[in-house]
Amino acid sequence: MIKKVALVAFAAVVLLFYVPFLALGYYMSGGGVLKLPSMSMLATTFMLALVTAAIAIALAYPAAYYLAKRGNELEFALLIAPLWVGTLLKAYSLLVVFSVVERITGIVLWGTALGVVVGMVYEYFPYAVLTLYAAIEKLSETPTQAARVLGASRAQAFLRVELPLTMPGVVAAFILIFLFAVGEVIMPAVLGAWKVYTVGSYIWDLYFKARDFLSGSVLSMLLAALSLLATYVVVKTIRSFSI
Amino acid sequence: MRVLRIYTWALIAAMYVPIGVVVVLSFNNSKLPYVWGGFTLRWYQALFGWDLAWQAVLNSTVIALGVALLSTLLGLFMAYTLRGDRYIAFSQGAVVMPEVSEALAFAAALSLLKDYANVNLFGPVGVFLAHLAYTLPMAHVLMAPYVSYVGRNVVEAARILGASELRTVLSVIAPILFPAFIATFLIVFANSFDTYIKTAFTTSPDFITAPILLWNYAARGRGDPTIYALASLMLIPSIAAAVIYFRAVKRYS
Repeated sequence: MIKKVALVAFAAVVLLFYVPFLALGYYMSGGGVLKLPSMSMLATTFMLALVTAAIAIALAYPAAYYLAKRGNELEFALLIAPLWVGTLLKAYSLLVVFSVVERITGIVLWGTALGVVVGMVYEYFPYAVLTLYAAIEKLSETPTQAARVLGASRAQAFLRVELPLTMPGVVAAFILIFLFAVGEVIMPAVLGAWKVYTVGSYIWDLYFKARDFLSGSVLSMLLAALSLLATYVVVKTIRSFSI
Repeated sequence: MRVLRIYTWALIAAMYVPIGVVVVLSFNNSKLPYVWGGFTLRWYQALFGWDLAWQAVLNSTVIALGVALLSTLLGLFMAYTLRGDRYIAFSQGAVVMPEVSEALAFAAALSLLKDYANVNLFGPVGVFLAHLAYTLPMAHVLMAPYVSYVGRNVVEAARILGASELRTVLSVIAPILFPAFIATFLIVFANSFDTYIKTAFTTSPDFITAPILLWNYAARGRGDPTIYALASLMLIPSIAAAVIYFRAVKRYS
């Protein structure tokens, strides 16, 4: 009986989650005029995603390193907990903070690419910590100790032994965040004030303003395919490196 | 290590400042975010006197409760029975899918239904199904590690001693997994309560939820203390989910 319920639930996952993509396929097969995003929009999206992933990882690495080596449960929990705060709430909080910052320092963040990057780093930072933490925690002490015994300084041991050994984790975190950031809608809309226009915003407008299912479908399918491919790569990298 | 510790705590502080600012400003007796006009509860009073906000929060809560209960239960069953890598891969793929493409896919499916089967599901039903579509895989993925924590021998012992399959689940597995169940329930609840994109694609103009109300202000860059109060209240499920999750995880380590 349990098995039957579970199979029905699994069928529901496929039916509710994966079957709707067939509807996208239907709209794609209908043909029509394909409105592809402009090069500058693609460039903005990719640059934002690249910069976000790079900054989030650079910020998260030292923290994840500390958590994996010496951190306690409270520190870990506090760093990860913002995962459960909704994106829109985070965006709105930052909007308020930006207005205060603008008033005090005169630096305009709302409606700029910098503001969007701040928002996306804020949002994806916990993912970077989680992924990097998993990679660093699995690291055995032996290679580092060997390097130290053989005369490497602490910095050398880190740069030439530990960092290369945790690179798969860095790559996984990078792919994950890059992917989320490419499809991001809320941060560019709220913090970029629709002036920072990304592929996510474009898909959004195609549906809500132009009611153009064809172009939206093509882009969404591409994004979904990219996502599945990247997940596959990430899972493979993590697995190969854990053995 | 000392430097790293200070660095980590600085990051923690930075993560909570924006949220803290909104909560503090919801008690600010001034409409301007950079002027502190003293402590007040009047924005909360304004919020509680605002019918649309009540309706929105109520709608969000009902949807999130239904979705969380159903997907956590079914997620538990899936995690318990379908242990193969194939099954979990489907759910993992769903969890990392970019929100906007899955939302558009769902909207496309709903509008096909509307055009060809004459069934208009845009509105509460559409929102419920769209939320279920991504909370089911999420619950499955979240429950899977805890289910593997339940030893096979415990289950087999119960079965040999004559418990039916349902009985085993209810009296043996459920008590062991209760903390994980509650934690997953709250995470799914918080996610469904907070999500905006999927709701926007599948709702009808007359069905409004709390994130939609928030978006109406956020997307225009408008600060409003009543909305700060709404945002502060919307944090409650997230905080509950975070606290209970870490307590539950501790019991399994």
